Amino acid sequence: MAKKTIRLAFNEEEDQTSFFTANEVDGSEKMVTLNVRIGGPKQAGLTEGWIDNKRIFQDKVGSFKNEPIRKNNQLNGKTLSVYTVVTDSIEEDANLTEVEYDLLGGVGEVHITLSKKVSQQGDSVYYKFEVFFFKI
Amino acid sequence: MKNILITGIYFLVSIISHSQKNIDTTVNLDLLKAPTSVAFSMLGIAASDIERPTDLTSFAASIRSATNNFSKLPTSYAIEIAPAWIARMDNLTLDRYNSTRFRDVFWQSFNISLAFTRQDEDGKEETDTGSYSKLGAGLKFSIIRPPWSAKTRNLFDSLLFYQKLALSDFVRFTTIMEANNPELQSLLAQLKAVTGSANLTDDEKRRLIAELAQKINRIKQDINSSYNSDTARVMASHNKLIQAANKFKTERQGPALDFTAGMVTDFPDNRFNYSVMSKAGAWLTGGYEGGNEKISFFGIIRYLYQPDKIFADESGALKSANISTLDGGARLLVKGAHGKFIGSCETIYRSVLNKNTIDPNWRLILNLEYDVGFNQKLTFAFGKNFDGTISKTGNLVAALNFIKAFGAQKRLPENED
Repeated sequence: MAKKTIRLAFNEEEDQTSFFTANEVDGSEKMVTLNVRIGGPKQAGLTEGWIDNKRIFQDKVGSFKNEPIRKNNQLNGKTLSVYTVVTDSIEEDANLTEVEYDLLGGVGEVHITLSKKVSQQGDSVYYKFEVFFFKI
Repeated sequence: MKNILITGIYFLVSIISHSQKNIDTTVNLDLLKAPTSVAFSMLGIAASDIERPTDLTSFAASIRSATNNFSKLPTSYAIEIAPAWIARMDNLTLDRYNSTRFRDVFWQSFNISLAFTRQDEDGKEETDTGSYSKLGAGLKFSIIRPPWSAKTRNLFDSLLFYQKLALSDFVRFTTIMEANNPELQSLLAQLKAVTGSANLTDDEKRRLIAELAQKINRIKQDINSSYNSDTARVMASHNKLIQAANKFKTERQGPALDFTAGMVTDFPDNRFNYSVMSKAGAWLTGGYEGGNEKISFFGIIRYLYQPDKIFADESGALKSANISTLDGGARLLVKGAHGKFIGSCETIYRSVLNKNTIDPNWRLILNLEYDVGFNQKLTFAFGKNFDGTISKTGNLVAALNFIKAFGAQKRLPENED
């Protein structure tokens, strides 16, 4: 946490609201899980997740951890799409919205923080996090 | 009839003129409230000079600016931070601000203020050789926090409703936008083909997959960026969501308890190994907010060490050196009759702890007010002042005669003597 925190302190952030990557899985029964953290303070967030054309979770309010996706041996060739809307708070001056996604349990892990500044108080930003799973 | 009228006027004048000393409304419980930013208040730093970073990047930028890119120590610097915000804790989303769990309440409200400045003996900012350094530090947090009122919960539910609609539109439209992008569809097909290919080595597969993923990522970023900047702006769901967000306002109902503390340390020789604590203070504030038509209660206990002004010493006879003071008070507010009736009772206690020169004293005020309409109010105030005298003001006695005996509407002056 400390290393990531220090790196983030001096990171020149640019607006980025979408991320697509490929992540390797194996044939095990190990569960792949998802963490979503929404910041900054007093911002409202809502998330839903899809595997290809099937919705696997919805109406996730705020930040959450350990959301089960599927087991490793069920994900080869599939794409996880996570959609998040973050609404800026009018009660705080900070206009930077961000979402941190952590995908754990595969052969590799995926960690990404997406962010965007809103131009007006109370505005909303739409984020998309996608992972294509493959097995070698 | 004439005798009754004269007698009524006599009683009216005698009761009104028998009103003793006025109740001093400038001295009230609000004077004991903890300052919003303790360290700065104790050092006399203006609110506009304070840095308030809300994330790690702006915190680092603030430090970098104050130290001239880390090349020297600042001559004057003030910062207020909420550690939970800087550390990006995961309980800071709006839904969690309705929580009454101590972990959430503490971290969401925990706030640290730090200030460094150089001042002369009169407390004015100064940087010449005659000045010395002062460091102020303060903290505050909530121990008990009331939950949202029903009105705020409804506003949040409305916000959530429009978020669902907006998110649904986002999913639908970006899916269509991506499906209508031939380059993207081609790359996705290649990705699947590489994954299932039997003609490539494992390393070749991994390399090609990584390359294709980067290309796909760039196209999808453009599509998403376009949705955020253009498409969303014309969506009814998005605009309704902005309206719902702008309507949201936090109101709370229930018990509350907050703690605030601060201190100022002087460095008379500007050397780190010699310091003297020049001021300190601690506040415990609690109460119950009942909202309209209910009872509200508010109380404070305040401890000050070497304050600028000793509350119990009106004449200013005592020097504040090595003086500790303990002050406190409470206010009870009752509303009724759809806001027409307001009754309040306030008491203040003040004392000097380590000197016997000034005895502790207290004050009690009872205020009653009723709106009779036509821009007129019945008022009654009764109080015991700090010096023990009794005060009584208001127009209630006159109004009792006014309503029945005289039989005509008359504008009532407020707080007649």
